[in-house]
Amino acid sequence: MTQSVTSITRRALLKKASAIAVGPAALPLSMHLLGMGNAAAATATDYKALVCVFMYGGNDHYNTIIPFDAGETDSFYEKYYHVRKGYGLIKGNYEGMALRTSSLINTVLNASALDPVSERTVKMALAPGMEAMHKLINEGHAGILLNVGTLEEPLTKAQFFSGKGNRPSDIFSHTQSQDWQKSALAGWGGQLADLFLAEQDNSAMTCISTAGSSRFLGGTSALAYGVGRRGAGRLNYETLFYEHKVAKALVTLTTKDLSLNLTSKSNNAERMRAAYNKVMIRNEKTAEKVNKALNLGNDLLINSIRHDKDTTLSSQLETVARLIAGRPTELKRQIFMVSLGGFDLHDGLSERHQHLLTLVSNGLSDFTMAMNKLGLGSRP
Amino acid sequence: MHCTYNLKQVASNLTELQLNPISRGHAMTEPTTSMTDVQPIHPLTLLPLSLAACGGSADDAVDLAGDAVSARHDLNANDLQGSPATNGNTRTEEEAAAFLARAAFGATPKSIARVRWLGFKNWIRWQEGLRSDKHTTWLTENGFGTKEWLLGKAPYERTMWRKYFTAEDELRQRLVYAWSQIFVVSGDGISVYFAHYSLANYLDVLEEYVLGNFKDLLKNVTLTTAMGCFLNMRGNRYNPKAVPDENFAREIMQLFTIGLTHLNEDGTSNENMKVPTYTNEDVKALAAILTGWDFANADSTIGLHSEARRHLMPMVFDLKRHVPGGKTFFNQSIPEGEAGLDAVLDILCNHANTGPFIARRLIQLLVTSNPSRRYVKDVARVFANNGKKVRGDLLAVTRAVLLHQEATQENPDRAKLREPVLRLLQWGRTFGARSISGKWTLETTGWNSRLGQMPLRAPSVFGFFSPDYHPPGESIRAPEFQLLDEATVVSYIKYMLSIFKNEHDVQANYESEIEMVRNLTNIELVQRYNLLLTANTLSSSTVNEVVAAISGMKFKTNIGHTRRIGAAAFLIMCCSEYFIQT
Repeated sequence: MTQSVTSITRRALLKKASAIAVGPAALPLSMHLLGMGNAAAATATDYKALVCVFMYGGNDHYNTIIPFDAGETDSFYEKYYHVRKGYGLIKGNYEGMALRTSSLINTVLNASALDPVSERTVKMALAPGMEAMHKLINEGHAGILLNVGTLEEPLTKAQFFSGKGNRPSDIFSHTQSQDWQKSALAGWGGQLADLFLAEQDNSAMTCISTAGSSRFLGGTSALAYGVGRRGAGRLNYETLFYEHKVAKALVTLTTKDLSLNLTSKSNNAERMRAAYNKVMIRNEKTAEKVNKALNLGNDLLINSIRHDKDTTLSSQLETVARLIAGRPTELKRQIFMVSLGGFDLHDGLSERHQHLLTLVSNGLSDFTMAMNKLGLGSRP
Repeated sequence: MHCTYNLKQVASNLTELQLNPISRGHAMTEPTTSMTDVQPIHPLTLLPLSLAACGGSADDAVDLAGDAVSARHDLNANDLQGSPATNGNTRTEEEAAAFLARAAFGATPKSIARVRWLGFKNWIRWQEGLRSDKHTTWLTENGFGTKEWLLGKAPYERTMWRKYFTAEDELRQRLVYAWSQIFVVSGDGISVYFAHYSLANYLDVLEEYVLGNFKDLLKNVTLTTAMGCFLNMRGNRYNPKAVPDENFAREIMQLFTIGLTHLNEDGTSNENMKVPTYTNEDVKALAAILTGWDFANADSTIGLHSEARRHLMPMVFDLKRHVPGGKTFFNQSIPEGEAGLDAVLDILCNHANTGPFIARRLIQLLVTSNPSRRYVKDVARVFANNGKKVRGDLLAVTRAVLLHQEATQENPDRAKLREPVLRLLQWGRTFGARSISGKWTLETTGWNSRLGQMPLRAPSVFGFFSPDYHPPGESIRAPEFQLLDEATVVSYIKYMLSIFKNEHDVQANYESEIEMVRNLTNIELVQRYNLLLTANTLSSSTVNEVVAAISGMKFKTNIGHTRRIGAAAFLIMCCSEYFIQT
């Protein structure tokens, strides 16, 4: 989020990627890319955060970033159009499943992509619903990394069809691919957090998810803290059923640290009970801090989220922005996960995809504005 | 059917029992104090009650597939005689309560007595014959089939809650709930007129087949409009310029039948050399084979719009929209046309993976998250052959899951997290929850500010949790933990508090509960809920803490009683000893 990538070409990226390919083989390429930057430099004194926006169901990236070179020799748009036009049935912005060039004129990007094979630069456009994102990229606040995925090694089309080379495992299964994208053995967000924890003693505030339980943020020692739409929940009741003792018993019973009694001989029920209470205990220890950050952040960021305030993604990003704004000053590295579902569109693509992309675009744009307001928007 | 009628009559003759909360752990045959409490059951002994197939054996467990086939027919009035004692029934109260947590939505004194009377095996036999009214019929009778509801979806929730909370065929309902997590459809992915009929009919279809044959279940689910819409088989048609949609073709293999890698009979696969079960060519072929299906046409009837009524019918085949020519699937040639569906379903149902794959899922959903290899294997073998050379007999499979010794005997590794929805339903079943308005409006329970789980609204076809999910940092599988984070563990407690305070349309019947517990001491009250809610798995220190917490409460008035009941049961339902079902 704080690292703006405006001009990294795929070629340059691949060069760097190959330079670090000696890393643990089980990690997705995206983890290696993170390692390239100084995001993982946990000893740093400045503040950085990584916010993962996960698009559940798998986004159709071919209709998110579209080549805009119709009419040129060997046009990429023509290839895209040929594959996607179907019967040629025109419906709004679409011809079959292809976005028509006329729908893209407002979202053509200033920067071009470089095709590594022909070494030709190619104009690209964003999906028509992504005007806010288009502005961000053209102003240098955001960038696009193409061809970043779960490959274990470079794999050509010819290799793929001839069955040579290592394919990512379970490449045709969404759920496995999603898990793979988010994690190798431990989530790569969590692995980064493990590094941070060596330097900052604030475990629960290091990894925060508004997207529920996720492998992305699960490290070895770092665990994600889940935040609800109204902030962290507390069990700070004065009375329950008109009794002080019942209110007190609720806290005692739910936050007993049962892991202290675990041995190698403990059975599954004992392990699960301890695991459940661990979540309760973590909440009890952290909820106050989280809510303090949220409240402080709220005061600093009033009205900075403009679009779609009530949509699930914007409200999650707003929570993240508030948490960043109100963070404890000693915290130097944080990782967040937010998510938006519904991308597994199949025959609903032409009806719903643009709407989802608009939510992403507006959400990220608002979030960037909020970061700019905090002076965290663009850092070297 | 005549047999089940008699059983139904017998079972419904049981009057509400009050169990003595202190006399736990005694078998009914023992002359203990609890015998006095089961006096009301005596009228039953006048009825000829006993079950032929019991044969005086000490119940269940041994004979897994059992006589599942004959079970459908071999109960009749002449066999109904004797008493629990002569049946040799030795199940304790907590064994019965624990069984009901797996096979139903929870326990009441009445249902515990019934299970102890009948034994596990015959309880299943009794339940198997029960049916309840159709969801779709209720929708129509309550006016949801007229054109004002064209854009409706949420009303499915009402009839779903209604039956989950109250239907007498609890085993069937519990299985519907479990299978709806294997064959997942989600209302969020179904955009069609009268979507509530589509979803309600999906539940009706599950009900119809969950105790029938696996292939019939799979085929009828495949042809529901809900599955057709959700995974895009509906309207998937031949187009010379495009390939058919592969969504359903993938998921029916990956999630509904055989899974991704070859399995051993015990459900394990070789970690070092995983062999994929199918190729992408198989997916393409299957997608082509399953083209040509779409909604049936229907005329309107009184109170039921044509667009709603077609959801009650299986999808229909149109050869003109079907990819022409024969296809090859799993190296077998598949004929062109409608017959292709049966041909591929036979291949998938007969695949060696399907038994262990389904066995493991059902065991995890009903009994335990980490079943032994032997447990999976035993159930898979029953799937393969019910004892009468029938494959896929789901009554036999259900019995095998619920009656296996790992489910019914002492088993230290038996454990699973109760899903939030199952906790809510248990509250409702235990405290006789009813809808005040008769409309069963509970709104959505799915947000992470509430239960964090809403039936038929999973975020994707992968459901609420993966069967292989490990909580972060844990060495054991605990799929349901995927629903948990700091937000949902706390929001569950807050939501249950509002539930216990009867702040919703679905409310507990505390009046009748008060009659049961009026004279109980605090420790007796806590022991009652310990039995009903946890099958007596609370530690003594937890029991003591709950007793101490309610020790100062006054309960002379009904308001006082309601608070005491609420405080005791609520605290128990917030303990991790309760959350983990054993």
